[in-house]
Amino acid sequence: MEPRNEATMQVLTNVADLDALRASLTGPQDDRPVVALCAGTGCRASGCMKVAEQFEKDLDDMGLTDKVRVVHTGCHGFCEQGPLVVFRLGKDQAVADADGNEHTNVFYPHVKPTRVRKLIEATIEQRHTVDQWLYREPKHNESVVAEQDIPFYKHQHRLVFDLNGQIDPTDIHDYIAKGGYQALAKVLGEQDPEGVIDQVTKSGLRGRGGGGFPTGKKWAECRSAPGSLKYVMCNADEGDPGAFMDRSVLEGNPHQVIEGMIIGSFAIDAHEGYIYVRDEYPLAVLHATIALEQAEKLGLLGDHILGSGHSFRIKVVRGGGAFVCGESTALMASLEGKMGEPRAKYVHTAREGLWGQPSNLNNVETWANIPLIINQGWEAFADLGTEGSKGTKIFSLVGKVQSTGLVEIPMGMSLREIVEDIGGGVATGTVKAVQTGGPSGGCIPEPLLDMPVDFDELTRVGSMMGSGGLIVMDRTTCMVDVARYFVEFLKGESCGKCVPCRSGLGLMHEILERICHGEGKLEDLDTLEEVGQWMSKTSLCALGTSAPNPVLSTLKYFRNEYEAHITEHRCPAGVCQALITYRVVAENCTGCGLCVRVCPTQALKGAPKEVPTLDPDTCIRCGACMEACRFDAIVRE
Amino acid sequence: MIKNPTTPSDTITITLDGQPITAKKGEILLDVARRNGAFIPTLCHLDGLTPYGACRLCTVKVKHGSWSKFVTSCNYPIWDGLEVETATDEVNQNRKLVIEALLSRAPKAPVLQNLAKTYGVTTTRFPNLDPAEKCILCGLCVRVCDDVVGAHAIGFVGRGQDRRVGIHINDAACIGCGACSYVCPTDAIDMESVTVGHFRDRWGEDRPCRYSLMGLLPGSVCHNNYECWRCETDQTIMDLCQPVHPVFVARGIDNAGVRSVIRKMSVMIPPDHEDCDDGSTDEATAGQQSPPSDT
Ligand SMILES: Cc1cc2nc3c(=O)[nH]c(=O)nc-3n(C[C@H](O)[C@H](O)[C@H](O)COP(=O)(O)O)c2cc1C
Ligand code: SF4
Ligand code: SF4
Ligand code: SF4
Ligand code: SF4
Ligand code: FES
Ligand code: FES
Repeated sequence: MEPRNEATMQVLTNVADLDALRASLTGPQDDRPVVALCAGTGCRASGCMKVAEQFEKDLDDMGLTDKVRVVHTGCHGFCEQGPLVVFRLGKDQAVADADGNEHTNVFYPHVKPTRVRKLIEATIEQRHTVDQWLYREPKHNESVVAEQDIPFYKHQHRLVFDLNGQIDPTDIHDYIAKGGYQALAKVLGEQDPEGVIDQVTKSGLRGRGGGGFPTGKKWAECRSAPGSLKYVMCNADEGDPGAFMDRSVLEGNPHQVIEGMIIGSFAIDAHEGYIYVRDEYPLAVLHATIALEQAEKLGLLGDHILGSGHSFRIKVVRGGGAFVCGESTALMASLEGKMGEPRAKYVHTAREGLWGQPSNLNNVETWANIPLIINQGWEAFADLGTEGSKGTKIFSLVGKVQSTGLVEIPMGMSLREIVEDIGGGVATGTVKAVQTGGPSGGCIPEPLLDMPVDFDELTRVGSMMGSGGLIVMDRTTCMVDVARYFVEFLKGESCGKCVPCRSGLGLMHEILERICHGEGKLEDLDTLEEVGQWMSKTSLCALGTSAPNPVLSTLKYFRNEYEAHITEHRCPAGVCQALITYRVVAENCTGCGLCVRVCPTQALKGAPKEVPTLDPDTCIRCGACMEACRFDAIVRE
Repeated sequence: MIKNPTTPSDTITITLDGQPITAKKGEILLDVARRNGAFIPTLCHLDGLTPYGACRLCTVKVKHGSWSKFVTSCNYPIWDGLEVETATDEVNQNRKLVIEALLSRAPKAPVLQNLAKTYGVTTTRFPNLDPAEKCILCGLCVRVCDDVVGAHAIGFVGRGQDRRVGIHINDAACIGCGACSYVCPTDAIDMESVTVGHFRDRWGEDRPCRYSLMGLLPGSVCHNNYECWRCETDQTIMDLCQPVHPVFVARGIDNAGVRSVIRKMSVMIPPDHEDCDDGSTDEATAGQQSPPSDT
């Protein structure tokens, strides 16, 4: 893919060249109305490329091609509403809503190709909103016009994710026009490596990949490590099921990550870099590759970047395909072409990493924070957040909340605010627990939800920040089943090298399966605790040491649910199939016979107008009858 | 190996089970601890092979002030002021679980039965997934083939509980030396049925003696259908190399080999047995003043 302005792809030999290029990009053309069409992976799955084609065709038919600027952006974070389109208009292009209020920003969810023509006509020609297609917020079912008024967006604080919905990730000029590579220019032009590390250290930035290690400290260690060959790497392996923040950042704004890496390489004095991308992320690989090519063409990568003494190159490498390949030493082994399995880190990778050389690995989001820290100053960054956790964090909010998606919040915001204000709460009324930190995070019970989002606080309650998974659970979630589910996932992902993780997960899984089938014993709970402690104390890598979290945290906060499964053979949430029964409530039954007809195994029998009888031996507990009954005459217990 | 005379800055003091001892900065904790008479069992460690840290049996607790951590002693470099606990209840509890877990994989292996006896493990709660399995995934075979033999013929395949040693991952590379079988603590590799069979197929009629592939008898040809047990050459070489496997001798690391054999045995010996160290105690207790003894 070629950037829109080929003429401006000349090598920038100094900072002044970059400034001149930026000035030339922010000309009159920017006054056109913008159609920001999300072309991220999520919206592609719901058909946004068809919508994009339709825009092109209709604008052409209407003779508006030159009068409107269509930008294919990266993910806006609200994928469940995709394909989504945002009109961004100048003051004199504002549109009126049904009440006559003017808007310069209009958000349309679930856009279909058939709607495109009308959207263009209404917005560009007639200057009003199309009310029936506007977003309706779930709590009060009221329509909302502008992006920034939608509760899902309104309560977020988007810094890292700011440009995602605005720029075309395949055109470096878009990034430069928005101030991109300014931080790099500042660093190369005016600062020394120690000064850069100092700013990152003082900003309080901690790694976003899971461990929360202070980034400045890690850089300083790598810089001072003996050796002239040093490596800088970006971890975009993102193997957590349900997480996609790193994908979205790399896909939607690759240059911000690359700029961070160049700054890091200057600070550490590294000249080679790698972006290790999960194999299942083809679009992220493509966009990162295009971005690297363009940055190289402009001389932002290569020898003597912006005329300075610093040289640096980056390669994209596709991941080995296993969850554990995201672990730093496994990632480096995989980069070396070996089997991706972890090794001891008693000697830090900052000293002996890739090919035994001093190496620095950071997460996508960590790298994307670097230009922000340089541009705004570390003080501004450190102002945001809690004592021990600074800046913002992107979470992947999923589960039983009304609105799901990627949310960027300032550190220190409470979990309750995320769930209630951004997520719109749960449909069934009350939250039961929130699981944070990905598959090996812990479950935090509802009474603790007022705790702030903070690396150390989350660890203190038995969970972790992880890479930012956030799953909301309600009364229909069985906590034993949750633990069983995550242990099963981790058991399949354990590399099997060390005994505690390999065998511990095997035993835990066996026990949890038994409990879910009503065959557990009370001693099993002690064994779970004993094995869990052992794993967290002695496993080789963080997969094994954190794997017991889902079990230990649910045992701590929801022990009664385990006991109900064991002693009463009852699943309080009605999830574990082996432990639930369905019953006909005669008082409510009208004898309509609907259940008799839907039951796939003829477990329900009864003549019309009679209360049916249920044969528990034939019943496969599918719940079809309960769902079908309109009189609450079938209950699960 | 010739040791450099120690300089003052290299020499550090650590506390080993309450006793202050001196050692060199960056030395591996297991070596230092054993030299000073501590009993630490190991299963995946052999001198001369790259440390691996898989069995976790050698895990000890290290402390410094209020900081503490469990680490595997077989690959932990020591530093000044470190306090080490090698056999507290807490440490032994971790070991018991390792033994319990491995016992479910290879219940009949003498090395595990002895460890179980030493640590009082009587049953296992871990499921035995494959009664025919003996391998405890220690990785010694893979590393001996990589590090000592240099053939890179075997490796691990699969992950989690499906992990296993892929014997002959790289068929053509195996020189049939038998070092893998020799180092295996649970006798999980049957050379005769697995390796030698393969070997015959591979060489067909034109059969180099295995010792010639190891570099001990260049150009020698096998006339015994690879039935080495009735071959005189095999007897002679074995006698010459005892108690070390010939491939260690061929690679010029017989010293490490000798030590490795002793190490291999030491895990089976209860802690109070007098032979539990490797014979280099003198060197350590004599301290830094003693002349380099290991030449
Ligand atoms: C099993 C496992 C999987 C991991 N997966 C990832 C991942 O997908 N992405 C990531 O950035 N870090 C991952 N990590 C954390 C990395 O090991 C490492 O700490 C991180 O990339 C360092 O970057 P940071 O300091 O910027 O967080 C994983 C760790 C473990 C133990
Ligand atoms: S903790 Fe698990 S994933 Fe990590 S090295 Fe051990 S077996 Fe492999
Ligand atoms: S739960 Fe399913 S199988 Fe059982 S009675 Fe209802 S419809 Fe039939
Ligand atoms: S017998 Fe083959 S696999 Fe075993 S150590 Fe020798 S070369 Fe490697
Ligand atoms: S075959 Fe033997 S040496 Fe190889 S990993 Fe298994 S137990 Fe260890
Ligand atoms: S991909 Fe379009 S909002 Fe996420
Ligand atoms: S982990 Fe140290 S001997 Fe196995």
